[in-house]
Amino acid sequence: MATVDAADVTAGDLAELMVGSELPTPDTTDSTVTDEVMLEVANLTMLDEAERPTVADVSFQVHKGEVLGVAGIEGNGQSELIDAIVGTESPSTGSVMMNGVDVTNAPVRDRREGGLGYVPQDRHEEGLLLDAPLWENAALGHQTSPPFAKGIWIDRAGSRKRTEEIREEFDVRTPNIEVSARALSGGNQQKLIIGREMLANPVVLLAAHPTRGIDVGAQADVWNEIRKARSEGLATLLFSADLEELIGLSDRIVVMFHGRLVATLDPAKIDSRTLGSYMTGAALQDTRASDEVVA
Amino acid sequence: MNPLLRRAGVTLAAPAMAFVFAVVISSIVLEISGSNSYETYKTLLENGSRLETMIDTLNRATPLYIAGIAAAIGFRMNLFNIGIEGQYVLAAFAAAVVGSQVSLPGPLHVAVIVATAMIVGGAFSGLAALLKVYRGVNEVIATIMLNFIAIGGIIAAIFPRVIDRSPNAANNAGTPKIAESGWLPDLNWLVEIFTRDIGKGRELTGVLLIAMAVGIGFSVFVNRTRYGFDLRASGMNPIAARAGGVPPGRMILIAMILSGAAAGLIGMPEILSDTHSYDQGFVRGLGFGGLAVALLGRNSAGGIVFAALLFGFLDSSSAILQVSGSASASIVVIMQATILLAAVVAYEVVNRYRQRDEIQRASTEMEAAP
Repeated sequence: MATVDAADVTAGDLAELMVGSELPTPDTTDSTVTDEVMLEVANLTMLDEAERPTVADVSFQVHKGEVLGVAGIEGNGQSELIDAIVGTESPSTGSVMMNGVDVTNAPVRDRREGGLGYVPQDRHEEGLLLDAPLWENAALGHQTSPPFAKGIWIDRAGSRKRTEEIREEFDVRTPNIEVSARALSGGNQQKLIIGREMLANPVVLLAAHPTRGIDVGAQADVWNEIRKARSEGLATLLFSADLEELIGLSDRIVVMFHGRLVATLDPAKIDSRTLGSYMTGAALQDTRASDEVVA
Repeated sequence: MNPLLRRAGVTLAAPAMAFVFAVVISSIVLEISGSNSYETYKTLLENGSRLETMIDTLNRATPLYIAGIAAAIGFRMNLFNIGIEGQYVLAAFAAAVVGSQVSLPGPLHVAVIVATAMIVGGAFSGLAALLKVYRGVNEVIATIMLNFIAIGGIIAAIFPRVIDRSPNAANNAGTPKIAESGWLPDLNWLVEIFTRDIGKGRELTGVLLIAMAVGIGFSVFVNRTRYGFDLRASGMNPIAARAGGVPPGRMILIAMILSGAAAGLIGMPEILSDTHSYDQGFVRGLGFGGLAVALLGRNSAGGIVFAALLFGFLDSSSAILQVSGSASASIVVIMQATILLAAVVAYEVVNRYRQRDEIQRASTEMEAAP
């Protein structure tokens, strides 16, 4: 056990003492970005009930092997953009192409079957069936394909086997896979979700706040998984409020402000302070003339 | 403690608590109303052990069971199909009319009647589903209204035109009696395997077998198929289900149509085994009974068996209590209501305990094994 003086300890030092080793960082070094576009959003506009745009004319591409970070203060259109890509809401104009297929108006299931992995921002609300056992939670979102289904039947043996794999590979701490998802800690719930999405071999991963509300150890595991998948060619769209995480994991960062993408930044050349000033719109005052900053 | 035993104990705790509570309340009501509660329970038990009561109980439990399954299909995805009442009465009416118009060889005739009932029931509850999916109408409101439209509207309009007015028609005005090829054989041969006693003119309805098939079909569908998974997922967490690719509109349609199709079978004992026609004395209220039975049986095929048998037994006992003078027949309704109320509260209490217990055990087990 270590005792430190509250006056001269930094948050980083304290976290290191808590995990008992050097603090993991989200930093990624080598680029694995390719030219192949896996997710393309073009001129996407979403309107709210009062016909006001929540997402306004947003365009971007995510390439194979790339992590595209989306920065922005919450409520600047990120949730609506996520809805349009997952397919739970349809855009009023614009298009979403996934792996070369236009999925703008495709149902959620087609997108999931087409290789869209989704780590939702609120795991209790959108990610889990809290009253169902872990092995059923592991099937959610993939219940139409093997190993979870055989034709019209649920493959219980296959589902359980896959859940054990997730438990093993993603270090989900649980007494067994029959307990309900409610019984797990937040970090373990999140690892279960990441594991189920990763083992389904996605071509595009949409990760919204993947490390929110989980402990430092679990956080490092999640970062490792995203890095590993990236090097294997996954295209990741990462939404996060953790600026260190965004800067560390992303190959490029776009900033969302009032529903628009207002800047594209190179994470190697910025710190969280600069990024923060873009998010609040402060930095934009100086660069309004050039409209977009390509660092 | 052995985890299986523990789980069984927790599962049985709620019904046991509800039963004790219901007996206490019913006893108090009996004593207040001037009956001897001990004598009343004795009469109930003595009567219940007689063969004809058992057959009567099964006959009453059969449609209640089907109604319970129909309700459970909706409940499993948080849909409240209050329209089971209207769906089954309308379905039975249509089946009786169609059945009396056609003449076919035995099994086919029965199949046509059953199919008519399921299609009419499914289509009628499908209306409520369409209203919900395309117009956002709450299914509770829609199905309640459709109950009135079915019974007070459609049947009231058509019934006078199809009443049997032939000289040898029954006194109780109804549709023409279905020809004998459209009757379902009774199951008394099954009873005779177990006992030499004759059920004193009672016939065990063949619809019991249909009810069993419905129960097994429900259980397999909900627990083993992908559609059942989608249905349960939508019931547990509609937002997560949707993000997981479950099409919400289609699931509402599927669930409501299946619920209505099952509801269509509720009137079959009357049509296939009893009166063989739809008449003015056609049995009502089974739709609401089904909601109660589904609640008591926790929406599971097995649980609803016990719930339907219990309610069927109490229903069949009400006449005996009246005749023996030990208590008013209404005590049965009071007992059913207290059992249901107590069960719902007990389930909730046990459920909370179970959740807390599971979280606690999961974390202690993980600490014990690093």
